[in-house]
Amino acid sequence: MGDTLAFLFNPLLEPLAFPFMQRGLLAVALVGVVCAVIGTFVVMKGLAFVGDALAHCAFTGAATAFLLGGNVYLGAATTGVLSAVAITWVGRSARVSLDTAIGIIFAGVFALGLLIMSRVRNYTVDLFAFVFGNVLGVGPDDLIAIAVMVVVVLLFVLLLYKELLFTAYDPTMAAASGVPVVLLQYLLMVVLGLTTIVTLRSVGVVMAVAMLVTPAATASLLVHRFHHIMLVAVAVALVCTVTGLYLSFYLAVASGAAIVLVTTLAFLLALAFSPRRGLLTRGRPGAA
Amino acid sequence: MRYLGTLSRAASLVALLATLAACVAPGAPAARSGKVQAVTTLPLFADFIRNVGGDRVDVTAIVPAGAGPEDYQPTPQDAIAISRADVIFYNGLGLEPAVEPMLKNQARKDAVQVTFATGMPVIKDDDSPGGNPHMWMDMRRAMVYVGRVRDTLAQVDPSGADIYKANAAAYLDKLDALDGQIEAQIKTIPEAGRKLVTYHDAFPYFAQRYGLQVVGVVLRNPGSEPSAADMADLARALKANSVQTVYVEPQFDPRLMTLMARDAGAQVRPLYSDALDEKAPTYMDMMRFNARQLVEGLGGQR
Amino acid sequence: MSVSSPVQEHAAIAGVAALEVTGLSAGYRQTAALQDVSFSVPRGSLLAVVGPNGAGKSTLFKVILGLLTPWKGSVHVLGRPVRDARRLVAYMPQVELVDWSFPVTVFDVVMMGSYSHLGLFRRPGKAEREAARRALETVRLADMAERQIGELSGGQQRRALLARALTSDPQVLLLDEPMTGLDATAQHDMIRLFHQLTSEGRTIIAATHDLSCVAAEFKLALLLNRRVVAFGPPRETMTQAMLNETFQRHMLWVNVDGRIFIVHG
Repeated sequence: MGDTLAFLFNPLLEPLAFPFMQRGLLAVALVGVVCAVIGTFVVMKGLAFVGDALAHCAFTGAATAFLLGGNVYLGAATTGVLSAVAITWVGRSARVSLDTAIGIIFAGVFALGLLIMSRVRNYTVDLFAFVFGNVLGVGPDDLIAIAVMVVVVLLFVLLLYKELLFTAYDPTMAAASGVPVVLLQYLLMVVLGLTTIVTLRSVGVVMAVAMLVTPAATASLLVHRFHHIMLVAVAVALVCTVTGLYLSFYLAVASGAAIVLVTTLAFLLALAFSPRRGLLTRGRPGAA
Repeated sequence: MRYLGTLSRAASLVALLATLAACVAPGAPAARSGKVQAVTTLPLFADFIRNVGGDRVDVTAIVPAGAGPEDYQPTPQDAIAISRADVIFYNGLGLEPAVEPMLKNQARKDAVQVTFATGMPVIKDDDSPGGNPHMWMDMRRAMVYVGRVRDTLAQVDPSGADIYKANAAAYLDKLDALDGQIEAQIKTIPEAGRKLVTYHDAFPYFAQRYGLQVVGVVLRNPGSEPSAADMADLARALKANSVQTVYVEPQFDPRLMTLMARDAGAQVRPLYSDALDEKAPTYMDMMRFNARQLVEGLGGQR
Repeated sequence: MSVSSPVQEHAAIAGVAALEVTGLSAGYRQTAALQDVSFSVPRGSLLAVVGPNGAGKSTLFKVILGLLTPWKGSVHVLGRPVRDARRLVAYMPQVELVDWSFPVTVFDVVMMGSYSHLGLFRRPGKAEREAARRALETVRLADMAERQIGELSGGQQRRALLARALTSDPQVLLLDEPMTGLDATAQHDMIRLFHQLTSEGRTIIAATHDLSCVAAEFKLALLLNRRVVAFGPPRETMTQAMLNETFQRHMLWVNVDGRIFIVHG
């Protein structure tokens, strides 16, 4: 009996003997949770490309800061937040839709970053590695930043949940009811920007983009009320990030990629087997 | 009459095309500027060439100071430099993957191309089955590189052959002396401490020559990320070998290595392999610097 | 402020007009959408606002809701200026403008109507849930409460939005095209609901394109084309001449056995 238990538990415990794995697991779990919470808004409002766009914009900020000799992380964070605000502002003007705004800002800002990089002839620093972290490279300072992010995001969403939901669902009516819609839209984007930056910096760009979208998208196939989607997204994120990291340990593959692939697999399973909308469980094609 | 008109028109067209072709064609041989135009990849190879060639040679290194060659992406300026070169020196064995195709397409037909690393026994490992390219880290092999520079320059510019021979001989003497010093210095490190952990796998030849053992590496394949299993292997190696100091080359982000070192209670120090910078501007400076860092970090005597 | 008991409110403000608009001019940038608009709506009225697109109907609603500041003039709801009257007014948007694919149930949506009473940081409680349930019963949609909003038919969608507006127990309801696209039966049900609500003392102001329905069922009509073309009972105001002037085109106006049918020419 003891041997069976050991057989089951040892594979779980062995990676935990390494401090870098302890930090990595904590980081991806927390990041997954926060991204799932904010990501529910992202997916339901069709902002899926925002995470990717903000990541690219943050890179430009880092490159600029590097060129000017300033703090690279601060440059990345500032540009990320400013881009989030710019996207909201452009999208609010009735002339272009939000995803058009995202596309425009993203391409322009990133091109600027590439231009700046091409002028940098002194490569004593690996700028990409500087801005885009790595699950395996999570340090104690990253954990602190993640902890702060968790507190900020959860407080923001919990305290203002009904206002955020109302604003996301029907901004006109929300405004008519006295909800400060414009302020909340900007705040949500700023929080999204900060979440993206902290995630980027601690676990890298591959995860930052995927964890904002895939868990919430998976949840939306399984449950159908906004707060349920958020809870299921959190659960999916927790399970997939931890599983992915464990798999990368035992299969000797890149960790960030492994996590994203496991999460995507979860989505595909939900797509196939979802009770109402699954590809394999639907009675006939076209059934609701 | 008409035939003559067509002929003269054709002739002027040909002349025009020829002029245009001359304008865009690669540069003319050394006779024009007087100096041998040499192009190489790494600044430290440029250092070799300057020491042998002196004033007779104009050297350009494509990879900028402080950058690693495995990830370097060439620019249009690099293409122009290659097209104007009389002689091109590069390492080979997969060190400069982005540059090698350019050499095929941009270099002049009569330019001499020299691969430094050919003809010498290689150390193979899982990640470079053709052989690890960082041969110059063993000073004896670097001396072979210098010899190749001398012989090639003499071939391309025979009137300078004596000068090249003299310069090379002087330089090789210095390298020989430094080689002996480094060997002696490393020997002061106690046997148990001669365990080398570096960021990327650039030191097998160095280790082989000077009596060290490479026990851990973070980046197996430049361009890919280390996996969790790689990191676990490294952590185990650090513990098993009671490693005091780990080394990171300056062209890499030291974050991963710093965290691993902290977990294992080890120090982090710099070590040079491919890139030169203000702290170590020449090959000899680089090797001296490395030796000192190793001696201080692994418990040897100065 | 509690969500129940309209009686005290009524007692306090008996005799005051539900909506008093005086000399209102408002617009966006340099363009005036409303010019010198004045009218007064008694409590319990069923008022239709008609006019072509761009006539200022949505601008008028925005001013009443406090979403747009007028350039000139004043608006009073039950004797109070707009900024103090927020809780007395509820709005029902055009059905097309609502996101029906959003993952919320009918009950979730109706609950949103109670948020304006709660202010920031407070969670909805039993009182709010009760109000939502009552609103759903009023519109006869209580059995669909747990359904996803995407499953509703056109008529049910409108009733859900109306229930949301009713949750906050408003005195004035602003409805934006509540009957557009509904079939005759659904329209009839909606009108019956309107009459029921106005008989409770609430005032309904509906922007609508269905001129025949207005002529038949509404107590008051406001013909609006940036300015007030006419205001009063449909019999008096919805004449051929007035309608032509409002819509700047020839309208087809037909009287069949006392029932008036109006169609865009």
